[in-house]
Amino acid sequence: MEFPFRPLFLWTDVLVFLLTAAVIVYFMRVRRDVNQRATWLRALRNPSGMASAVILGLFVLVGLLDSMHFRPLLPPQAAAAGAAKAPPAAKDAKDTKAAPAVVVSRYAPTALSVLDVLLRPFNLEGERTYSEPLATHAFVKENREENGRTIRDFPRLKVAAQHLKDPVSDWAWDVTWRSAAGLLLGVVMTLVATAGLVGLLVRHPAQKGLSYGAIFSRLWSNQLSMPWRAAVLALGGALLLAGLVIVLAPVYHVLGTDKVGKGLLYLSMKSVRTALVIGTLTTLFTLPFALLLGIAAGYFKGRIDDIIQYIYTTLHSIPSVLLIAASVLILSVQLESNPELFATAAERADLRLFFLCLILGVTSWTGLCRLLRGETLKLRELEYIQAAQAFGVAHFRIIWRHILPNVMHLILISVVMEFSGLVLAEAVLSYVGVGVDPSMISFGTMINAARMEMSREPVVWWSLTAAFCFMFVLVLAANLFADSVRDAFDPRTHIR
Amino acid sequence: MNAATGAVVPLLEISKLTTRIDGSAGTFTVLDHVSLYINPGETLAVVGESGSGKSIAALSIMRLLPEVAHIDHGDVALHAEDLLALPESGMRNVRGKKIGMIFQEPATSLNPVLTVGQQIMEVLERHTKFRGVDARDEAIRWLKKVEILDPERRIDEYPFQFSGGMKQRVMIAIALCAGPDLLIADEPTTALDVTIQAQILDLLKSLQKEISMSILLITHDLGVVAHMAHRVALMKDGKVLEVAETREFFTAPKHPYAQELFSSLPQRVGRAVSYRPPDPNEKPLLEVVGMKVHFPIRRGLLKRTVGYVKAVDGVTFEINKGETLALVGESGSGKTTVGKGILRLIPTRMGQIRYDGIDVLRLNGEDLRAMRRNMQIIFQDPFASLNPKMRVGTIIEEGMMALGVGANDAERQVRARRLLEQVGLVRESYDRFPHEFSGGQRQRVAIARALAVEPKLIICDEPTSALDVLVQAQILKLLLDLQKDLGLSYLFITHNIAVVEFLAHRVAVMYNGEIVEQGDAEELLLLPQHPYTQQLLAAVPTVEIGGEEFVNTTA
Repeated sequence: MEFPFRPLFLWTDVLVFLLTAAVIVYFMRVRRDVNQRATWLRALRNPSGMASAVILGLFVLVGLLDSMHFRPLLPPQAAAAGAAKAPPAAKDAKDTKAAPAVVVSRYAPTALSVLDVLLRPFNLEGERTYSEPLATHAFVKENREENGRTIRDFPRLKVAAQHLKDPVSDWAWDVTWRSAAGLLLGVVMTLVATAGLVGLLVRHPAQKGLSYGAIFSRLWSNQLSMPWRAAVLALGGALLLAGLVIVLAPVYHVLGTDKVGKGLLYLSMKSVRTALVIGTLTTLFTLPFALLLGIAAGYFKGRIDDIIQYIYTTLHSIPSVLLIAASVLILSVQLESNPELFATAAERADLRLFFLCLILGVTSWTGLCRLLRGETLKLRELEYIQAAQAFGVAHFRIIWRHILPNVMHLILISVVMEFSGLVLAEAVLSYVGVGVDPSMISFGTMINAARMEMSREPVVWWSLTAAFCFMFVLVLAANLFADSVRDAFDPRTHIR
Repeated sequence: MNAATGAVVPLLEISKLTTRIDGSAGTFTVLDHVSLYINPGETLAVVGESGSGKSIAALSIMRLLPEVAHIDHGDVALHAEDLLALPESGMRNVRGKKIGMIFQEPATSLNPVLTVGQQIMEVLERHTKFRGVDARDEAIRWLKKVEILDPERRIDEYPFQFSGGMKQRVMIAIALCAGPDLLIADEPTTALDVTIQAQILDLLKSLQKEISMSILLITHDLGVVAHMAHRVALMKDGKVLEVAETREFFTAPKHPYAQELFSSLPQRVGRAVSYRPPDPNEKPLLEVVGMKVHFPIRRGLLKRTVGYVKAVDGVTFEINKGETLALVGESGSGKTTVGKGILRLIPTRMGQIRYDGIDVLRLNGEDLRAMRRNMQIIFQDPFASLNPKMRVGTIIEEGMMALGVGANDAERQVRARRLLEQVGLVRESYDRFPHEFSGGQRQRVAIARALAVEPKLIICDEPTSALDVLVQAQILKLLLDLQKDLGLSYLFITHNIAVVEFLAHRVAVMYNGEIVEQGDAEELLLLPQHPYTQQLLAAVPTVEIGGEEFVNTTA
């Protein structure tokens, strides 16, 4: 039996989904625990916390869609040809080795994600090189034959703006009405979403007995228990942009194209996953070190504390960029020399991303470790720990039951605070050339590719702008969210 | 307000002062139409339990309330000037210049990186005409006034070089050097030992006479009130219940709450136990012989031990079955260290601790674990001794689980619920978290936790010193009842002589890591032999209620 596709589980995909599952389990436990629930609600009660949570949620959605990978089934003739020699669809010569000729790989050697499929109508492929956002003509002059003469002039784009008969006169009107239609679509979607929210709120016991209209007016004047207006505004903003994209993108390059003619909208959307993976998986790798070593140092004191302190002081005194660069270079040599391990280019790039997270994690646990050691030193002197010791409770059990729950807020705060820093770190590392695989789409590689064009005249501004805007919104939302989480969880900001 | 004041114009007049706090659970009133006045040269004591709003009243007068609190309405007039109407800049001239303030904790009220001289001179240069060398001379003069020896040298020292009592003296100098008319003293001696407390109170009294200022004294200690105040205001739940002359307040309290307060003072109940000579055939339950706990001082890269702090230095005592031995001493005398050393929470360097003839210090592994069933501890601070993330039931069952009491979870659960009832809590407490309980209830949970493993000896480490007097009385009574029912022995560590008098069979007085005197409680409290014990007992402030005299008496 043949499926139209074969799912492909990349390393980071698996971890991303495990992490998602862990987060879901965590929030299910939070729902049952009155205290934790109140604390989380406090984080969301802050309007900027609520708005940034919505925006972050959208980014996470994009990231999750982009983490569902599969290999599509090749068309029959291509598969037959593939059986004869090598899969013709393979662009990367190295990948062909990965599918030995004997075993007929009937699935394409390139990995697609669900996001790719969803974005397909908006991702116009086939331009030769740079083009401005919403352009009809290329950015670079080319020679072309017309009536026997060679003219040097801006050629029309190959796939974008094909529906315009006379691009010069029709373009302005076409873009205007499409934008208007897009905004209208956005407004309609926002209204539908708001109606859906009101519909949910009506059923909620807190709003018992209120009519739809009453809830809507309260939502709008921010009189509900949660700042739903901020959520609606944030979602509305995102939906307006989405409306524009839905209407404009099938016929234009909304954000322009890059050097090899790829749509920047597509590249930016794909970068989101890389950024999220780096931001979350890295912290996942730092946690075991920071938790185990930090708490052990603080709890056992003495020799153990000395040793752990020496380790992290030493590690901290090595410039982390140096450490990361060295590890990444060693790793990339290993990956290059063992191409037979990977069936697709995506798998190789993914493994490199995975190791990058690991390396970043190994080099960046010292801060949290120090924090946890300090807090544990304080906690272990508290009387409830001594009471447990007086009962002869085992050390591990004391750590697990008494110390860990009481440092959880620190861990949570530092995880959300570090997220944005790691997203930025990826951009810097990729820019320097020791970040993700060059074939992996990320903000860092986008910026790296765009930097040369900044000195060009006229300047190619859009590729940097696209990366910048996406990253800015992501990091800002993460920071604002982290801020309200910190406020909610930090006992010092509470009213006693 | 009060007709009796006659022609005297009050220095400070508070009328209908109402302060509210905006919490997440809504607004609640912490001061409810409080009206008070203070005459020039007078001491008004504001007394009340914790949470009665007495500190908030002081902060409202100074307009130093925390962000979440605000003055809703009311008037505060100093020299007939409305303090609440002043702009913030005008208020800065009132603070320090017209009203001085000292706080409870001298350790945190001084800036550790400035010398004490700098801190006094800062106030002098802000509020008086003294500058430079003059200010320094004035600061030295003030240090002399607060009876600090060798002020010319000590003025350049940092707070850490001063003891707690000395720091409070420096705080008093800072508060008074600009010549305020009113001193607000918020629990000025609560953090200090009883002998130091007596000195500080005498100092305040003599300074008051010398510079004729008024004092607003906030305290929960009725002994301090009796010693210091001209008039007393009794507060509860943000309301002033009764204002009276001190003598009248103690001899004929009008408000039922005041009467209740007096009747719960441990002395009022009298001695609950009497000394009984130990049965010569019966071996003591716990024998401590020549116990020494020394903390090593380590220096250098290799952390070599260069010396020892001798926290406990050769302590010997014994506790019989069903007996309470009170271990009395000031802070730093090593009494808590003795308790923790017996339980092996901290290592003991030398000596023997024999429980039922078995040397606890030699036990290891399983034997030690088995021994832990016999001895348990109740701590001072009920807020720090219960894990805030665990339910009460789990807290109580933890010890049972670790020491293998009860065959299975169900049995342990039944036992935990029964214990909750035994210590006077409802069975439903089982599923609640510690923060849902008051201080006294938490202490009950802590007692239930200790009882869960059926110990014979409980070390009570100041179990009531963080509690209000009414709650303290209840907890002490609970401990006595449990002793009667279960035949428990207590090692009762405390600095409160009143509590000792109430429940101790025998007393051991500790000073600088050694026991200077021990014996039968009645005898020792009546006829102390050692000079330190005599000094300790003499320093305890006394209260006369309806003609009877009582020793210290925290409310």
